[in-house]
Amino acid sequence: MGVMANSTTRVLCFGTQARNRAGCCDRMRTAGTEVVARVEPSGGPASCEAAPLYATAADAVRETGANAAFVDALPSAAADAMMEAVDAGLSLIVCKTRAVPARDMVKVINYVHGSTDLAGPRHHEDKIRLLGPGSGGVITPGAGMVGTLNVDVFSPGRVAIVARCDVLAEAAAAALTREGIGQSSCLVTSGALIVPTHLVDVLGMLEADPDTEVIVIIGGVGGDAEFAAAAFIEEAVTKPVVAYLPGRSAPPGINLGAHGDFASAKPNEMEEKAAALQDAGALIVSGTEEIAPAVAERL
Amino acid sequence: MRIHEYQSKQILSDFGVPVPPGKVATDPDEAAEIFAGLPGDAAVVKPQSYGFIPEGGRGESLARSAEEAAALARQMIGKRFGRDPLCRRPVTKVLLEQYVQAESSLYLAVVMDPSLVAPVMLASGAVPQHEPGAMPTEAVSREVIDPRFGTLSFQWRKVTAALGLDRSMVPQVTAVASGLYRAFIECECIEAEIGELGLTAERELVALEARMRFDTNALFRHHEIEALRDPAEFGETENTLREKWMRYVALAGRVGCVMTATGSALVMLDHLADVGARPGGILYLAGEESAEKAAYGITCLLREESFRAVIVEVPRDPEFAGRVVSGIRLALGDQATGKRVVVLAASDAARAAATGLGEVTDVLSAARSASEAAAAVGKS
Repeated sequence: MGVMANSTTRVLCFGTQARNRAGCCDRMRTAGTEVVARVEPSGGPASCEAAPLYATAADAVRETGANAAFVDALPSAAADAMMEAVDAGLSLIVCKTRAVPARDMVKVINYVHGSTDLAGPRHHEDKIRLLGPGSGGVITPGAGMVGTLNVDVFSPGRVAIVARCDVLAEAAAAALTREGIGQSSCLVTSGALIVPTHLVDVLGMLEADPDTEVIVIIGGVGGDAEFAAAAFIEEAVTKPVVAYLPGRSAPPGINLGAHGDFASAKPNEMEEKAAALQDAGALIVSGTEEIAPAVAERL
Repeated sequence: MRIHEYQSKQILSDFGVPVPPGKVATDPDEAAEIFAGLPGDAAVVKPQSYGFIPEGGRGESLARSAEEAAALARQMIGKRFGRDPLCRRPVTKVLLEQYVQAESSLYLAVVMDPSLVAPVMLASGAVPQHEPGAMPTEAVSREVIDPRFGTLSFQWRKVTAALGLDRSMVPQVTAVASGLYRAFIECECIEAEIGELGLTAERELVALEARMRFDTNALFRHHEIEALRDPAEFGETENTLREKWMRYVALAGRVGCVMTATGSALVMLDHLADVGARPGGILYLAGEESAEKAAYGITCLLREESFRAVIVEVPRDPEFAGRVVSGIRLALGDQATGKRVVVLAASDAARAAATGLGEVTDVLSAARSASEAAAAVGKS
């Protein structure tokens, strides 16, 4: 059925700031997911004609049965859009917007926690999954997608990919597809400083996913997501894990991010992350081109 | 985003944190003049440079006369500080401030903790040993501040104790720590640090050493912070690119990289390291960038004198790839660069877009992967 996104997913879009505005909706539709409504945060221009416009997310959900949010608002409006999505009862939120201020993300994460921990008007039955900021989203090839991943490189199968960056997720998927190895799901978390959903949150879902046989992790510099993932793999993951950790040559202490603040590397960070994942039983590969052969051995 | 120490102290002072009286000089004569105007009979002279990290007296010096102040300023101005002197700019300013005799030195900082998703106040009764420019990880007490409630009164008593001070100091600590915290929150910092908080014989607290770093993503609502950016701290390439709001990371090597995502930049850096080449800077092209802007960016890197080669990544998205390839064409069309240009097209879509580029010029190499691109560049 896929993790997070499938054929029953109905997407509500919050703003579209990319040049290729209608393109996002087209990609989701090509992937098999209906884009049913849109809301323009902070009264922005009605830019995309791909779905009917609603005044509020609550209206849109009531009228269209939307069950997932795709946020591509301006950085100044992204946090509000994510919180409006939570308020409207949506439990899968993909934030494409990059460069969301850290203080805003702190607010969003607290808002999400408040709405799941306390029963009340914002009570959610499902755990809220928030990918981003700067996430390409989540795709289950052949079933659906919330996000902007390049549908062409994916093919249905039994390998799950979880990455911090959409470009490397696509590169890994393309390499697997080329070798005839399909994917069960592909999820992109975030390379930002303050992140609501980490690798470890996703690993539990993939372990439980009956369609996934092998898990591919693509890590990155900064933060401790890979260490937490290693501890979790040791404890709770039975499926084979292949990990690629680019960034061992990233100069420490320098923010290398493409957009605004991004976690920077510590000395020897990637070596330590690789060692932790290896000790937990993961196979470490040193390039996207090595992923497919490593996965093929484990299928 | 970083700022100078004197700017950090000015902000902290605005939030009620006591700092020594001081002023910035850009030449030795001005330094002598400022010395004469400062209270007390001695002054500390400190170079103002983003790369300069005070490590217990190195680089900062005591002046007991106007002549000494001028001599110290003369020594410091023009010097380069920092881990990687190649991407650090020569010092253009020095801070002169009244010398404050401290009985003991304490440490206080606020950082954003990504795993707790909350600000944390770090406090210690001594200045902890830590990596230059980084936050200490040990030997400090951590007071987590719940972002929903902000600081609570009892936390100031805990911070006072963590600083090794007795209850009589709670009012002074509250003034300094709450000022530091409010500055951190209101200016949207990632880190705000009083690296040396002096305790004087009169039992007063003074911030002797301060450093602030801001959330770049929040600058759109902090034009007052953006205005503190000192262009003298950046190279010409970086400043030229910033004029067009393009993201550039200056590094110390000789290979320029034009990338479309952080992930591909990390991969490129690893492969460059494998062949012994060092990246000199990474320019990021955003997905909505026009061909003209891409050309502008690539041209800036081709003009950077310290570079011997430039790698340009063609992205997977066909439309974006088309604009990047047009950008390469435009950038190479009107000039002889003398630099090797490597076009990295790792996907089929990128290769399709890049077809025909080879006819433009003979300095071009085509690479199908980051490792091929690194090999084409070769060792620095």
